[in-house]
Amino acid sequence: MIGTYVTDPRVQAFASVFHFGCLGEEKTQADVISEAAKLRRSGLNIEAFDCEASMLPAARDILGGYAKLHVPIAYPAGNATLKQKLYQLEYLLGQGIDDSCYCLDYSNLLEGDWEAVTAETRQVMDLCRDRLPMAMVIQATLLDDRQIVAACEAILQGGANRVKMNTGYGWGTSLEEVDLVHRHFNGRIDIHPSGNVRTLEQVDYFLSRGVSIVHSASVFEIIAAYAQRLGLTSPAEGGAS
Amino acid sequence: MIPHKSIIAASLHLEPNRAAILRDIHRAAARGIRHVVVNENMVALAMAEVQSANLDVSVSGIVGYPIGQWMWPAKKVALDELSQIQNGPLAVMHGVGPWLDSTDQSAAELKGIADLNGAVWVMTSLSAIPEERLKALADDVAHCGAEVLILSNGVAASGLPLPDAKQISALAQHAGGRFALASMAPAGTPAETIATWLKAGADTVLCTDFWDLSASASDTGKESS
Repeated sequence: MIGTYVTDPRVQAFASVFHFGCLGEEKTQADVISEAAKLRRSGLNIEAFDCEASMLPAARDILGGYAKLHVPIAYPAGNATLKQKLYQLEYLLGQGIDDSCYCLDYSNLLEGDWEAVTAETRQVMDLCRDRLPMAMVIQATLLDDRQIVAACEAILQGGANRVKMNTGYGWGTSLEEVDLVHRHFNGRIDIHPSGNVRTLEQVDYFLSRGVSIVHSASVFEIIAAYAQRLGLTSPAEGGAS
Repeated sequence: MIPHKSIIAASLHLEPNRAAILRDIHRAAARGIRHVVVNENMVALAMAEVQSANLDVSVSGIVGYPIGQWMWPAKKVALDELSQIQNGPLAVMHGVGPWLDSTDQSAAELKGIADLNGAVWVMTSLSAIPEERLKALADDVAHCGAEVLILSNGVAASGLPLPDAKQISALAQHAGGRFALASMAPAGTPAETIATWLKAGADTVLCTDFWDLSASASDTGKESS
């Protein structure tokens, strides 16, 4: 059922910060089609739908022209060879996708090899600059505060200015991690929280820190809670589904 | 204790740890464990250690781990690269989702694997596959010429459980000796559980805790192989 609140411009503006998707080893094409169709039925104008490259044709069939399509590179562990990662990027550029994120080699982040992080970022940005919006994934949950700040500095040096904090899939973004990056970089980096974003209160907090993109598997529930706060629905009405 | 000949050492890290990989390479050699699998981006590191320390260990990088849903042409790029670096069999994770869908991409990947030169290991997620599809899985793996099918535990967050002894037994019957089964045992898997998998028909276990759970070749009086 489509929530009646979707016609409210405040709800649509709120929805426009979200990425929602269907990713995972056991996900079938039928799963992707089902989730994409659910999004389309909802009438919500979210920012993008996330899927694996192998699922791109199915997602495009359902959502082409409705939502941007976001495909991650080397998701979720960043452990592909650099050569393979750049091949994935070239492939996605050829596919004309709308948005992407790139899982850095997390071993460089953990080892503090910031020159390698910058070099990897630069190779990616040299390929996709002006062709594809790209966020660099730093898997912040694996890092301490100093490493998170150094990682952001390294990707800035490499020419990127969007950071996806985590991949989800077991790695979630905390409020403190977003605070940290916001405090140190104050608008120089576009922060994309991802993973374990489940509540309206979390999203409120992120938005108060200037976040413009939020990845969440709970997008329908969060938007329903937002509509309820606006007085557009009662708790019993539930969300778009 | 698990006999060392029944173990493939796993040094797969979602939280990468280069020191642990180097340690595991030496530990495998010390235990007489022949094969070590690592993340594909850690093959060069592992091989440099094998060569500098002159260790009798074969290294394979699992391409596509831990989800397996990257496109085959991208996986092929990595397999071609690793074939020039590693001394172990090629290893690739086949995404179970596309396989369950019988997509063209899944078929293309299986054909691509069949066309590879040399020994190949395939990994996929048995727990996601219903019993009535096990024969088809076994036939596909056999047709693509894989020597070993690794039964992935996937990523914990996916919610997929480890394959149980009943699933392993059923798949072993369908495999019929056409390829070997290696069941994946992540950190913390009890030796008793591994023993039930081996009894059920797994030929080997891809074991993270191999150092704690294995007996050395000298302890058991067996030669390393």
